[in-house]
Amino acid sequence: MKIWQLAKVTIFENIAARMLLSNIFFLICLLVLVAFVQDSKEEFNRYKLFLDGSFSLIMFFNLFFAMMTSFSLLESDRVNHRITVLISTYMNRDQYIFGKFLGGFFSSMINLVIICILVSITSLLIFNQHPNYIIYNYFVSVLELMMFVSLVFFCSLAFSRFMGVMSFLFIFILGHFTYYIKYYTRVVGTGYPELVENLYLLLPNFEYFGIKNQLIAGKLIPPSYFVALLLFSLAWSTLFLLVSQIIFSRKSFQ
Amino acid sequence: MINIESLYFCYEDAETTLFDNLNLVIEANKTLVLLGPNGAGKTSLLRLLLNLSKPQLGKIQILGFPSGSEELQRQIAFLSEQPTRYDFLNLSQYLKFFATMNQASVEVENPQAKDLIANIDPSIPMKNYSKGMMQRLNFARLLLNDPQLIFLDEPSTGLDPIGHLKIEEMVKGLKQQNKSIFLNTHNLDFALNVADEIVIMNRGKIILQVDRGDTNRKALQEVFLNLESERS
Repeated sequence: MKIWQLAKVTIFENIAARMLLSNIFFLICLLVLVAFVQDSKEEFNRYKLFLDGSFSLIMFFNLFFAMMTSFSLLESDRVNHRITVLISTYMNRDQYIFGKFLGGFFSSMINLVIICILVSITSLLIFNQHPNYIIYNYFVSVLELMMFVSLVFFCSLAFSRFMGVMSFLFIFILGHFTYYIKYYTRVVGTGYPELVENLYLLLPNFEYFGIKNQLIAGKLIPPSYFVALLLFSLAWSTLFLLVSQIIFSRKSFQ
Repeated sequence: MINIESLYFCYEDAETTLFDNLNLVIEANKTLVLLGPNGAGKTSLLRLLLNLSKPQLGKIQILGFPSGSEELQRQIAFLSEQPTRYDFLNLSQYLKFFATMNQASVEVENPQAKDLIANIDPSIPMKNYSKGMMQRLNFARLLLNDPQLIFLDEPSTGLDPIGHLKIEEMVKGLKQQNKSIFLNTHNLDFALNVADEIVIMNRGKIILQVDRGDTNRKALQEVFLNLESERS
């Protein structure tokens, strides 16, 4: 109950900070994309081009939403003298961290849902079609967002503002290259090929979320992949959240 | 009410120990004022009591519970030096939020709390509040869960003389409701006007613990002057 109350007030705060205005920016980007696609000479490919662009936009905005809503979660409470009051007399530190994370995640989710609705409406109105795999991509975006928010939250808690942003971007970029570790031994060679080849499984590999090309090309992705992705995202989010809780539980307020 | 035993505490980045074997017993249903110059350790002690910092050694018991326990949180309230703000909420939403957090009634039932917020328009967002309105609202928040013990950290800092007098009235109002109060201040007059018991602290040590009736302004001033001469 307390956790949900804190999450709710955090969502209100994010909305009050004109969070939803960023959706107008998304809409402008989407309309530019539609204009670009309509202008394309490859008539048979227009819809695929639209989906490719939309899915890329969703991924970019996901990152943007996570950073916008979650980097300042603790800072705003500190500046407004809430954090000490909340954790001393209203809730314990674990409840506080979980409540703030949920607030950040659902704030970003509201944005994500809005932009997904915009993409679906555009798809239906302009191209008269809405294949099921669009929904699959939305589902994967939610999982990616959960991981982004937990990572942003962890970085904002563990480091200073500047170092937090830099660490997040570092892990984000690293997470898009971990897949290449799999092929490292074949290219460079190493004494422990199996260890190195499977190392990428242990890293926060964001490439798993990049399934748009397969979806658009009509390749069948087995349901087990989505289940595995759900578990992967949950595992990493839980880990980031747990480490955040450990750091926060040891924090001394001077 | 508060029992501190053999407390040992130093900040991670500090070279010296702030509290070295600190012992303090405070009785219930009293207004205790913790006085001391800047850097005496008043705020650090308050933060230890509220579990915002953790001691390296020692034991803190408040109302029979260890500091930071959930049972204790239900029976205490805390007013920080600066008002706790949610600029995007209005009065009703603000009080409802904290009442729900305390699992208390959403309706403001305490007469003093009702008085404090009587002149505040419930529909105006907090970003438009004056400092005085903000303080009154924060005092009203303290009473939502009918706490046994209230911690006040420098509540009159940065206020003009009228604002200061109003804070004094509010603290006296809390006293009339038989609340135990732990007040942290460096204002001697304020302390003398509201205290039942006064503790003077300097450099992490208790210099004096005395009932209000057993002391006066002159005696306390002398203690402060001695502290000042020791420092220089």
